[in-house]
Amino acid sequence: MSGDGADPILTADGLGFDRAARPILDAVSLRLDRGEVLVVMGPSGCGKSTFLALVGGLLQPSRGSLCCRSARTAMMFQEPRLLPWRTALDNVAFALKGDDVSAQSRLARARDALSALSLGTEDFGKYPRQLSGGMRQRVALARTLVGRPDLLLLDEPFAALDTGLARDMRAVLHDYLRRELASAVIVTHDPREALELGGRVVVFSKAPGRIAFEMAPDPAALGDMSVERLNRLEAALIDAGGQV
Amino acid sequence: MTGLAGGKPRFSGLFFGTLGVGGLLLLWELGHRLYGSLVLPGLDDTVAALLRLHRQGQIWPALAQTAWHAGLGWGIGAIAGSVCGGLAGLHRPVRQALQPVSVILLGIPAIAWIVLALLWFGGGWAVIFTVAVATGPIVFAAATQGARSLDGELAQMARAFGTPPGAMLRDVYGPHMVGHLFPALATALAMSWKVAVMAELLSGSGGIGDGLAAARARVDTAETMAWITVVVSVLVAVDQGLLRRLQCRAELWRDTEGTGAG
Repeated sequence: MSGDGADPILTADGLGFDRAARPILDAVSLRLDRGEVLVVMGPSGCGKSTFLALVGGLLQPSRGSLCCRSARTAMMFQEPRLLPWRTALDNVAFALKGDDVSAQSRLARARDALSALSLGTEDFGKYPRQLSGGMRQRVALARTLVGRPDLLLLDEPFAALDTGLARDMRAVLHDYLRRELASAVIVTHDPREALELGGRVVVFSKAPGRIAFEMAPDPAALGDMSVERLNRLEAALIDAGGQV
Repeated sequence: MTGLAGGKPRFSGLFFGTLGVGGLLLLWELGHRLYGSLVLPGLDDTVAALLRLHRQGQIWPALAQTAWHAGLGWGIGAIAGSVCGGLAGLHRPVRQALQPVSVILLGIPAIAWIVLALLWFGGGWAVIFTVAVATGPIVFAAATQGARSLDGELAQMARAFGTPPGAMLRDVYGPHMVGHLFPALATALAMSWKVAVMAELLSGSGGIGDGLAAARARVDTAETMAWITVVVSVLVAVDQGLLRRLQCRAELWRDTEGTGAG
């Protein structure tokens, strides 16, 4: 548990989820304050993605309670999940379909979001299969940010990218979170990335996933990559049954 | 260079297509010379019969009537097939109930449906019913397959963004279903014309089929061939002028050349 400030954006209390009578997630209690970043780690199958799906409202808890007070939540998956029959621009504008704004306004905002991610205007009209893997993931990030959500749920968003592109996209994400004072729950396998993201880190145990370890955020909020912090996190991951 | 590369296959297709049609017309003329006008009228006789029918004002009303019968029957079959197929693809019990029914309906020859429809309805509705019942199961099979292969991850992504139902249909489910339904709808449309003409011929409910029946009664082979030419021309025009263009437009995202570099 962290922070005692009022009005957390997310509160989970004894949260549990079963699939086919098998517990996937159990007794997860945590809170996320506004503007806070929570990094979730743990071994494969420990329920990290399930936790994100529960927060995103894609699944209903089997036990416990979950209270999400975000004005707008956006999700990004490990794969871009772009609509193959829509152009890059239309894919980004798709995130605004639920908004009461004109099509022109949706497209204008989508153009701005793509430009902010350094995608050239010549690529706006391309279909996903015409884009490289990195470009597709940039389009997916633009789609996530275009609605200016105050809660981001990111499931290993940069895992499939090369180091340079992953770093650039993390920088865009950091910039957004700082500018919009938004909160984020980010799932990652990579301890270095977890520390670079600079938030509070929780490590789930093997299924059924429970919080096995918690590390406070980097006090300097700069992504403290000290050997001591990295060693502690790696040890916690091994204890939880994961691999480093 | 792209234009040239893209132009070559198009020119080659046009050339060999013309060659094929030319060969067929040559065989037709050869058959006429071998067996005489009663068995197979010459090209000139057929064109003359076609012009005569046109002058007498018979072609357009017959064409309109057949188009109405075929179009309405196809529309009913397409809607029923799409809705039932969509439900069958999404719900296993519906699929288990409707799939055997579809197989049975597919197994009944169109000619048998015409006989039954004449007894049940008679007139134009017999034709419309026959077309609907002959084309519906084809669309049903495609819609079932389309709905079964819907991408759950895309639907989940759309729900994560709070996409309203209308947009889900337009942007997620619709384009996916079109990919599966379009070939079936095109096949069913071509079939609807053939079945409609056959049903009209037997039911005497107007249209091109009625024209064919009248020509047969007079043993006017040239007029028969003229009506056949009308049916084939409409089918080719619909296929080349409408269906292919629609398909190209609907599948632009699939056919685009070149993929990303990395």
